Amino acid sequence: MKAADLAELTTAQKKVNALRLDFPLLNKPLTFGGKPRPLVYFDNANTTQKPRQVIGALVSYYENSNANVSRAIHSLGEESTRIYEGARDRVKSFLNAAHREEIIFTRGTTDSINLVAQSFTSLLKSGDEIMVTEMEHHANLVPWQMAAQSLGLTIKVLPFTDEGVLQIEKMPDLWSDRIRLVAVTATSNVLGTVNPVAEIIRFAHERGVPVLVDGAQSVAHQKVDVQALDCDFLAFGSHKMCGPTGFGILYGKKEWLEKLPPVQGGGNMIRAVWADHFETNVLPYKFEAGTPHMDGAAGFSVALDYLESVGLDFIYRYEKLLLAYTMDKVGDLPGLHVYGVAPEKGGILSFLIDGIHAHDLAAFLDTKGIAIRAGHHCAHPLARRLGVVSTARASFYFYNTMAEVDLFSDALREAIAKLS
Amino acid sequence: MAFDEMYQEIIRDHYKNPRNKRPLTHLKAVENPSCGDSVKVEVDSDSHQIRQVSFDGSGCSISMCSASMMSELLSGKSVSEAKTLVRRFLSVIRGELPPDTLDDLGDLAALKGIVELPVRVKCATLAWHAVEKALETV
Repeated sequence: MKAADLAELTTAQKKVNALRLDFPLLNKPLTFGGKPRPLVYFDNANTTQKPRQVIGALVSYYENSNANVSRAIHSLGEESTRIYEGARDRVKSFLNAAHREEIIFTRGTTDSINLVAQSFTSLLKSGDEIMVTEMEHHANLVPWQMAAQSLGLTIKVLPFTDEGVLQIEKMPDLWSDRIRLVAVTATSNVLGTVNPVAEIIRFAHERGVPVLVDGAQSVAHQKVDVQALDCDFLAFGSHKMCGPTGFGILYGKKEWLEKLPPVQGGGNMIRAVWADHFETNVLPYKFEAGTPHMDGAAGFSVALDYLESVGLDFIYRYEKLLLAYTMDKVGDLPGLHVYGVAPEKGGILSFLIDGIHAHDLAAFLDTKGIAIRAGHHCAHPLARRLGVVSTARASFYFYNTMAEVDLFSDALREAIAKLS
Repeated sequence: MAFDEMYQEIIRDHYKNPRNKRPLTHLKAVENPSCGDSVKVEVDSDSHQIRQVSFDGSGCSISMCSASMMSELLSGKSVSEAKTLVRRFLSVIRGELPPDTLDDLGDLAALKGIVELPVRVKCATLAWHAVEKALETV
């Protein structure tokens, strides 16, 4: 990496080390491989750690505000509703959405995509087509395949290059007038590639087709402005961005959400019910059947405060620098293969080392206190395209440090000596 | 037990020099969908006596050495004896029998530590589930 970049990264360590103090799990005495060691948490694309502010919000919700939302005619219910609906306003401002009704609370990215897949496709006919990419997580693939199976739709797949760059130049050739929706990930959870989503949206919109963006690996790592991006749907979860698990967001343009039918029936999503029929509630409640994840909303709201105080632009820049530093440290290791070397890339490093199975490597690193993921990362078509069964993946967040990368580098060298 | 200890020479040896491993292209693999490890097992036997157990596949050191050790242990055994050994191994790994039970099963004693590593249990049992299935049809 360039000397100026290294200096910038080195300077940023002070800020990062201060932020780390907010994360109980990063400061806890732990034992790995029979020895007390600090946790080096490099599994952030899987889920992130939570700062005490978010944990505190969860505790506070139950200690001070717990009651069901929207339906309790008492002060506590009003307080709970205020927190829950306050979280909606918080997400609206975080994404710069035009309307608060465009923010639907779900269980997570997968739930958000399934909601659109079930609702949107109910308007489609046999022979209609959905375009996805070859680098999708199963969560942005299987829901469309399920809809395709039941409705007779066709899935069209946009490929990527050996470097892990999406081949958007192939969109015109793959395009047809039967394509009804494009579903694309903003950042690949394996390759780390940051896709030119704005360009894809522009291309699809010129042909009158909406775009769903899987933001699971992007919204936590860079500033996303849904009005500037002009996406029709954006799906992401709370737990990959310092928030509680089991909570997520579906952003949808109002004109689309108004057109789409609800997918779950029950309380809250109705305006009135008779014995044999019902009237649907207004947005956003139409898509929120049942008692919601109220503490999740409380915690996520605080997580967004936290991320904005860290700075989304700082996060994106910092992770890029840390990845460059990592490549400087481990890039020339004998037998190392890196999967995904796109020019525009987030803090994700998928790799294999000759003669060491990814699982064995992950188990070895665990004895050093280093948590990485090994496997197919829920992206079988991508792994098949790369010609691998599983890979090891180190993925960063803003609280990872150069010192941790040094430990990672030392551990990889030891693994090569001992295991390969 | 720490991974370093578990990673004894014996496991390494079976991983690097697998016993009874040959291409079994005609068989369907048993897979661990969470990691992509896959193994095929063939039992060459008459209705009572096993001549040889062979395997084919790819995966981590634990899944492959376990398959190799399994093939070595079961080759030459009677079918009923083999079924008993498979049940015994799986019971140990599931925690239903004490780990020391594996001391009587030759090299498999090296896998005792797996019981304490729940995430690797699926690796260790992959070939055993495959052979269990193969023995049903003998």
